[in-house]
Amino acid sequence: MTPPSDYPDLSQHLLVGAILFCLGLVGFLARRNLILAFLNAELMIQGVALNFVAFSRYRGNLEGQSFVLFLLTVAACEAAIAMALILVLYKNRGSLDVSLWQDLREESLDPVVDSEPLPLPPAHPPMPPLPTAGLGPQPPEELSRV
Amino acid sequence: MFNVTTENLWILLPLIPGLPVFASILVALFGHRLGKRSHYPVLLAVGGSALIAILALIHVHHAGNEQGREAIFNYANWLEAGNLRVDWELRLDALSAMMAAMVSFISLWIVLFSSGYMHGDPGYPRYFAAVSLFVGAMNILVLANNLPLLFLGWEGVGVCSYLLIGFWFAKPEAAKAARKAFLVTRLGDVALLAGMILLYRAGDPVGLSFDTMFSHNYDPTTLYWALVCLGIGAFGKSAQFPLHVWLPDAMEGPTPVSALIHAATMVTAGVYLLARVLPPLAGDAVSPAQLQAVGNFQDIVLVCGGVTALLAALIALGQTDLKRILAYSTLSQLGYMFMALGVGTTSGTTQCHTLVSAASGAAVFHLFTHAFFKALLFLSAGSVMHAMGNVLDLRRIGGLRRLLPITHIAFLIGALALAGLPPFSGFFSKDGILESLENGAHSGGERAGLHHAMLYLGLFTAALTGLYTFRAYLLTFWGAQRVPEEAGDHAHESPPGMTIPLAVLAVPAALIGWAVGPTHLFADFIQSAPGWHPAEHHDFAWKMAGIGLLAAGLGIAVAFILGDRRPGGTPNNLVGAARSGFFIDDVYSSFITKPCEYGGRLLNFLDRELVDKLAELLGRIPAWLGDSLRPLQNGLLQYYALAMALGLVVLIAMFTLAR
Repeated sequence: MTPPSDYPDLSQHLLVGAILFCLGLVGFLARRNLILAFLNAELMIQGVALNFVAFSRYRGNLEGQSFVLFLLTVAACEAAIAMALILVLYKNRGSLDVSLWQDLREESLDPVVDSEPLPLPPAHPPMPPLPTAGLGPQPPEELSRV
Repeated sequence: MFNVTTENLWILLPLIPGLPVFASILVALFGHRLGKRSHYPVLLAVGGSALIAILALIHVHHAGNEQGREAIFNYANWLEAGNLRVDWELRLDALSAMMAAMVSFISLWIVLFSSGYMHGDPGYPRYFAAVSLFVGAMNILVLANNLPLLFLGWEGVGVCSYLLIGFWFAKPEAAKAARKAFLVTRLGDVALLAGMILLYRAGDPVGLSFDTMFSHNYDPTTLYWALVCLGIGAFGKSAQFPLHVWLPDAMEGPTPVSALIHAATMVTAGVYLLARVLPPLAGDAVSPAQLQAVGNFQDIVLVCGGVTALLAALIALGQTDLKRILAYSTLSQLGYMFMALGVGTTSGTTQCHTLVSAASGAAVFHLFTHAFFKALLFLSAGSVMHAMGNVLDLRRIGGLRRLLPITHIAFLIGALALAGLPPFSGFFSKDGILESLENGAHSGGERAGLHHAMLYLGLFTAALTGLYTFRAYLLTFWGAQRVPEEAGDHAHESPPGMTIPLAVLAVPAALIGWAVGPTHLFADFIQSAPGWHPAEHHDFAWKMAGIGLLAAGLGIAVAFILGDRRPGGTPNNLVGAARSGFFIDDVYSSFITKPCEYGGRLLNFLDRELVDKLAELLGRIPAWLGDSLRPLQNGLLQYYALAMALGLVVLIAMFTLAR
């Protein structure tokens, strides 16, 4: 099938999609925060979706676009499940550090321990003094160090 | 009135082996429910089988000379390959009717005895299932009308003897004895199979049916080798030298089993086979070359039988265990039967046929009487064993005549019959064998000399028989009363379930020879079987009987002179040699068993150290691979993601570069 001549920008769109995908990939590989890793995965999905749209336009049919609609639906569902899972994990260990979960490794292997642990988060600034009428609400202690 | 007639024979005949086999299956399947009642189905079945067999025997006897003397029933086709056709064919003639009646009748009383003897044994149902199958297989063997069907019974008897000798399989000696019996008789079984194949090939397309196979004109050389093979089979089953070594060890089984194996079933199979084959083969129709072949084979039988008779009698003298003495006496008596089966001449066909028929009749007659008195002796020994807490060592028991009066009388009758004193049954049958040996010696021809030698050997053995039998009797029942401590303080006569069979078997053991011996009723009857030369009437040979009696009396006298002299202390060389069975076991051990064992050890070593190590090496490779790849699974999410990304890169690179 010959490409239609009225759409010369395919390669540029694909480039953008690829850049999005690679950014997401690098982010996914580099970040240890579960939420950020998840966001990076979303970025990769969007890169792929952009590819679909570009090809849909290039071919002049709606197949790619319908795929994107599915993709968005799936991504939304996935986001809901992923956030729920992340919440549970956070409740379990009080941290979002992905390296805390290494339970699926081979039994004979030692867990990978960070030789250079993450810096502790800065301590909360002391609460401003309040009138004696009552105490201010205790801010929830943020345990995430990322 | 229930009776066996020509009309209902076809349906009753298969019941003789069928009932015990059926009872065996029944007990084997439902033995766990029957428990202590397991002997009832077997008693009923063997009893029914005995009843039918005896009625069939009477029927054959009454049937006169021509019609009804031989009945062959073909029930179904068993197997067919090429022009070999084997049917489920049963045959009733004088020989098979007599054998079947004897087997079933004696087995019935042994089963009854067992129900008392084996009482309380945890393997009670297993025992009766095996015994019943044993009786069924033996009946198949004697009633079969072709060699393959006979072989079926032959193997069934072998398997059951293995099961029963090794009945107490937790005892290492019993397991070993069972294995030995199975392997040694198996040696003979292979030869029998080879003989069958030879006969089939030579007789093609006559087949292996008893009613057709003798009418074929066999090539003499083939006939000789086929007979030798059949003979080796018979030697193995009937425990003749040099394949006799399994029988004394078979004493490890329960004593009623010894009675069953030694008296009614199993060891009689070899004698039966040769008695079935030899007289028709030495018939009137054969050529001189064939007669020569048969004669050459009979020389082997004669010598092996004579050697067994003498050797076993000498060994029996050295034994100290009552059951082993009886076992060796069985060997010795079987040797007599084989000697009789070896009688023949090559000088003329009619003369030979007459001789062989008469001698085989004598062998079968001795088999018949021996079955009764040996069953009686073994069951008496079992009764002694029952009372003495399983001790039968003559150095430790003695003077039991007051303690076990019924057993004492039963053993005495058995011993008198075994020693061959008139009017007990053994006298007439042994005399028949000696007489046929004498006839063979006087028949002229080249084989006469051997017969002469065997006659003297038989007479000498008769003296030895009297000696060892009465030595065992005197040591067991006379002298000062000795009861081993294993018997406890409750040494007593056996329960009625065990003494009734003793009483019943004592009657034929004492009298059956009288009924059929000098009157020649038995010889007339057996020799009326098809293919046998009809018996010729002549006066009872008092001369031979007198000499045989003299020999036996001499032996008994020596036994009485020796009296209560118990074996004790270290035996001298001669007695030691006899006690160890003249080292025949050791010869087998060092020339056959040991080399096989060393070869087996070598192969075992090679298998373990070479083949197994190689296989293990191959098996290690996947494990090594797995070990080296294992660190990849470190459980880190990003690590997996990186692997996926790299995989993707590789995939893309492959697609683009390959284009």
